[in-house]
Amino acid sequence: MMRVFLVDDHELFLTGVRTELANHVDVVGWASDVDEAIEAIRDLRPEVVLVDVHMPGGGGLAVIKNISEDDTGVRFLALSVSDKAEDVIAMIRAGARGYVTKSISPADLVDSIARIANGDAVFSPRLAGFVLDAFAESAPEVFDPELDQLTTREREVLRQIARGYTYKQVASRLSISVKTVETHVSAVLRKLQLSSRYELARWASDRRIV
Amino acid sequence: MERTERPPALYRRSDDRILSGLAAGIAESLGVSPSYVRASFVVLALAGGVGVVAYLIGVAMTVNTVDVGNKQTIGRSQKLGLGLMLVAVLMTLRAANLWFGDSVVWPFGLIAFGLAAILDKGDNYSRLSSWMLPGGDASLRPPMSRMVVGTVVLFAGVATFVASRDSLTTLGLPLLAVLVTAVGLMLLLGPWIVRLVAALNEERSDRIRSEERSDVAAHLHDSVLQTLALIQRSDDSNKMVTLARAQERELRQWLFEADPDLDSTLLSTALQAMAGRVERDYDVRVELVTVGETELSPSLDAVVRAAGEATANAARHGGVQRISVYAETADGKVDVFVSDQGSGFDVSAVNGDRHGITESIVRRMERHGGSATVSSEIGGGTEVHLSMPLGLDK
Repeated sequence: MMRVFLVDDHELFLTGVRTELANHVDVVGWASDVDEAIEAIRDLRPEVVLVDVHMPGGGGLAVIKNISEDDTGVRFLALSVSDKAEDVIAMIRAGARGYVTKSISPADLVDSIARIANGDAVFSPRLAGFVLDAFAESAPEVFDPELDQLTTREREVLRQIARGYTYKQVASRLSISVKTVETHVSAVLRKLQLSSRYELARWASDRRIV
Repeated sequence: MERTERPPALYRRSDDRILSGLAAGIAESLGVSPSYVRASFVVLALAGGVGVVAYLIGVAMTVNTVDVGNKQTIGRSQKLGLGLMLVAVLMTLRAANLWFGDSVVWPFGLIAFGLAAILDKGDNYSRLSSWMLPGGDASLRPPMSRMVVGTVVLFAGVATFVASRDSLTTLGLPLLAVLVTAVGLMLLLGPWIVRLVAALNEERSDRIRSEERSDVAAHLHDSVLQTLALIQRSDDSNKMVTLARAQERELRQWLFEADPDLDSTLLSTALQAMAGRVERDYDVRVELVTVGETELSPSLDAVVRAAGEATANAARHGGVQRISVYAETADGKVDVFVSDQGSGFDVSAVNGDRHGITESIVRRMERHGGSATVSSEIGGGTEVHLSMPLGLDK
């Protein structure tokens, strides 16, 4: 079973998620504040950490920034009630491999955790929409075409995800394999994390609400 | 520092002090207002520096204490006695030639006591800071009669001082008079002006704060409290979920959006409102994603209505809990996809029951210059694709 760690300052939510996940993953621990979380994650080395965005003491951002995936092999899935663009982008740029909102169904959450554990990316429809918006084609200045633009195929995959289709459905609709869909999404994640597009930050701050 | 049952005869009040609290301590022991004790020290200081020496000895011999509850006051005749004692001491010092000169000590004595009378707030122990500083209690300000007496004494002192400066030239005299009067007025009115300005500022920010608070309270009352009340009265758990969901959407919009009415001319806002309506009416979750943005126009209004009809259709017939709406503005057109993973239907065999699709969606889109395609298969969900070129309304 996948070893999963939970970070959330809402006791009630923590308890709920723990119960939901109990039969599918091995919840090795949980924390409700930033310092506690950092210490426990370094100690326990879980495969996947579900981390809340808004918490006292720096929030999920502080947790992600303090734990390097390269050194520890720990992968992060951001989970939040907020789907504000700037939160989403900040978490992804800090190193989270995915972002889902707390209204996600338990089955979808388990799926997402498995995908993250595999080293793939998890994009909610909204996150896919953000990326499409932020990487709109009308970029006046592109520094690095490799990183600052999406390929036609990546764009098409993101559109399907934004329309609410699962990776599997996307694959069959575009007549490609699920593995290819995962590859495209992971490539987009990498661009999202590394792109120097100045629009990204400006766009995120412009868009206060989804 | 120890506190005994009976306080020492002489102590310093560290909680009511200008320098060390010695004057306040002495005043409390004597049962008079600290202002007068302070004035006495000033006058004695002018008497060859005796006041300064006495003050230093006093500080060295006493300990700090806070409010010891020693609140007795003395009568008018006793106060007069103390005053006469001070005069006697001054006369003695004058005789002993510990004196900076008649033209200094007497005028400044009057000025000091005039100020003391103004600063003294009454029979209780004065807290200089309590009415001079912002936020002080207005009721602690001295009564008008004392203000008048104090002012008269103060100006008598100033006048005496100015009149007795024989050494000043005729030219310098008026200048000095003006200067001294200005200083006197500043001493008199300064604290009052400071207080007034501070009070005004405080009142203004108080008013702004309370207006904001009442705005928030009004909004929460109209929305969240009403919903919570409904949830408590509801036995139907589906209904509760719907109410909570709709409330969440509204509250989120209110919290994160600067002004919901401001952008009502935008496509995304109109779609958001549409999604909210369907969520409320049909107990489903509508996941809306918009990419790009454009101003609403009559033809885009038709798109929003058609999308609303498609979403409501999915909610009515799809048998699903979640409907996805994706709208993209790019390349001179708006595309909206409404998809559900529900039961689906045979598009070629649309019966009367489904006439909403042809009438409200397809024909509406075509009338405004756009197009609509419906794709669905039984058991495979439904997707409605609406497309509208931009710039048709110009």
